[in-house]
Amino acid sequence: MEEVDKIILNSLKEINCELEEDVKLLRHLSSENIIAGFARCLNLINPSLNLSTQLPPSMSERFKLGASIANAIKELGYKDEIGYQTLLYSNEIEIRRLFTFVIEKLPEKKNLTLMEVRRISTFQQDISNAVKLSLGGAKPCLHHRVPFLSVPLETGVSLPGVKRDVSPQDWCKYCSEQLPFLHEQTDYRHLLPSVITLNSRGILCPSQLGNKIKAFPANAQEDSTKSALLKQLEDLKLSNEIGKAVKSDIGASVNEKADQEKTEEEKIISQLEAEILELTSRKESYEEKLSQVNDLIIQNKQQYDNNLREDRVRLLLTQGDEGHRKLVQVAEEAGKKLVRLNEQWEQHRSTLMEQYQAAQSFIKSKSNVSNEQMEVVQETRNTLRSLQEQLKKKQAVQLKLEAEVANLIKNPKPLRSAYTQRIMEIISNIRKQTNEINKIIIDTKEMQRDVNSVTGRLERAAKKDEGAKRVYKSLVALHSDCQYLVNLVEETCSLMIESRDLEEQICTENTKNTSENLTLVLQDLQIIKEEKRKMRGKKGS
Amino acid sequence: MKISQEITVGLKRLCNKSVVSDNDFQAILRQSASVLSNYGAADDSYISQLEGARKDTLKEAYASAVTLLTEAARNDLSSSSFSSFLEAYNLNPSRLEELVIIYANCVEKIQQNLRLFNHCLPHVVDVKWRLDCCVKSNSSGGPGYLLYFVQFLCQSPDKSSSTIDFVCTVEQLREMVEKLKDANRKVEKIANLTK
Repeated sequence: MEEVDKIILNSLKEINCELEEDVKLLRHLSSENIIAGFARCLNLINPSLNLSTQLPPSMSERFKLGASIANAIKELGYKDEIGYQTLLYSNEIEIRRLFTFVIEKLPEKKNLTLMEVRRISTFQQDISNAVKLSLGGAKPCLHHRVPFLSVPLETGVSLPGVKRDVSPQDWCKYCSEQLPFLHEQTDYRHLLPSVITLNSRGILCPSQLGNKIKAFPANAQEDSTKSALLKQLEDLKLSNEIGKAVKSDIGASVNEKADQEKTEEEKIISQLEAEILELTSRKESYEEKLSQVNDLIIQNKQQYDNNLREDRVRLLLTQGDEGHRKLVQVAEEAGKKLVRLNEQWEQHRSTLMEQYQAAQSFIKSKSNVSNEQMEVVQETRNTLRSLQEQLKKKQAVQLKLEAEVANLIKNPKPLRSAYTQRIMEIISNIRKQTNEINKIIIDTKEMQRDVNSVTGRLERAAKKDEGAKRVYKSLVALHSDCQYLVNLVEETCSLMIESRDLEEQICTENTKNTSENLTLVLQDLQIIKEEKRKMRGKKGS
Repeated sequence: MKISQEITVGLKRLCNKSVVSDNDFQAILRQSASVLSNYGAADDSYISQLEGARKDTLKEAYASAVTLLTEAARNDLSSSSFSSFLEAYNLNPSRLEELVIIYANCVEKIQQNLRLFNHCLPHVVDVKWRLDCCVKSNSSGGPGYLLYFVQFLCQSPDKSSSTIDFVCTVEQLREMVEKLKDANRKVEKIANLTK
């Protein structure tokens, strides 16, 4: 029974039940532990139950919780009788039976936990290997050790939703003009840690990225550059302000000399401006004249063209017939030329058309080939994709199986081997016992045969003489008396067996510690009555 | 391996041909590889080769290139896993290839440099001690008690030595020794886990 208890307590610990360390047997469990254990098991089996794992202080609440747990266990298919009393006024045997039933129904662990277990175990292995390595006399490398110190770095990237304390234009200007390159923002000894920290910070809290212009170099060497940069930035702002101030008003802050110089300069400027104005106006007038002249030229040209045409027509008209003949000749020549050109064109066209058709058919065949190739490529792509998927699935299965194997090798269920051994022992014991029983049966059969042969001989001998007859009679009487004695012995035996049974029953009844439970029940009844009375009192008031 | 959103933005800019020209891309890669692998003796000349007008974008791209290479080396990615990691970001394939090549070239040196960073516990090389019996002092009279004056001689990474001094009673010293032994046992237990 101890081993069963151990298994039960182990599985209770596995589902995170809080048990005291000195709990070694089921009978050490308090009713709180029992209720918590059952509630946790049932919650795991059916999460929708959502049973409380703590024993409530009020007695009636306790009964309610006990009843709901008992109901849940009944719904799982528990055949024996069970009620809140079984849980609250426990006896060891029933509790053991209940726990074995409930723990068998617990859902199996998920595969994911298997993977996790594997991951953790490999991690532990790595740690222990590293520790072993460092214990194995490897001297600490004293020459090259740099403390992991990081300083905030600025990449200049603005993320949407993260506000800076300067306007985007200023920030842009600052970034392009003054922000140093990443590796110049800090001492080289701090660069790698700072880069790592930069990334981790970006992953963990992107909203807290350096939102100030001053947010970088904190390192001693860089202090000077930093301050220089800040100074430059301030100068920039200052100069802007000064510019604004100069523009807005001059009088108060500027002294007389400057004033005079300024007026002189202004005079010169105004003179120059006047000159510029004059020159531009002159330039405009010249441009106008130029355009007028251009127009005139165009008009003249047109007139000249018209005159030329008129002259030709007049010539034709004055020459009359000759002019007509010449015109007809020219027209005929032009017609002939047209025909000739047409023929030439046809020749060229036919050859070119042939070439064009050939090229087109070639292109068609080529495109057909390429289409086919495209199809082939598509098909191979599809097969590749499906193969990749298969590969992924198989790899996943392989990983799972490997994890299981590793787990099995690592935790070969220490208890199981013990049980199988125990079972084998029991089987061998039973075999031995059956062998002995068989031997005894054979012995008794032989005895029976001997007895039979002896009685046969006796009967045959008794018929021969008187003395023997008497002896035989007394023997028969003796036999019947013996039979009587045997009967008596059998009876006493059966009585003894009965009494032993009764004793056992008494023992089991004793283990159920009914009397204690009865007193407990009576106490609880008292408490309930009191609660009831209080509630009544409250109601009354 | 994970990279932050900030670095992702920079990375996308780095691999965008319309933002960073090919020459600038090469210069940025060379510069980051040189900074990370020649620790402390980097060649800064590549920065002067940058031609792009928008210096702020180039700085962002450079920062993310440095961070990406460092993180990948820190996570001990192989070239193929590095390229498959980058593929998830939909980058320009030719630039991705360049990145992988640069990474493959400098990963070992970066890892060497990363190995330099340790927490630097003092390395105890010697101990000097003396036992004083204090008979009476301005703060306490009464019967005398024993005091240990202990001085640990430590060697720091740069070969300079320093000392750690403390005073304790016999019980305190005994307790400390017990604690140290305990720690030693724990470490050995962890080391023997795999056996």
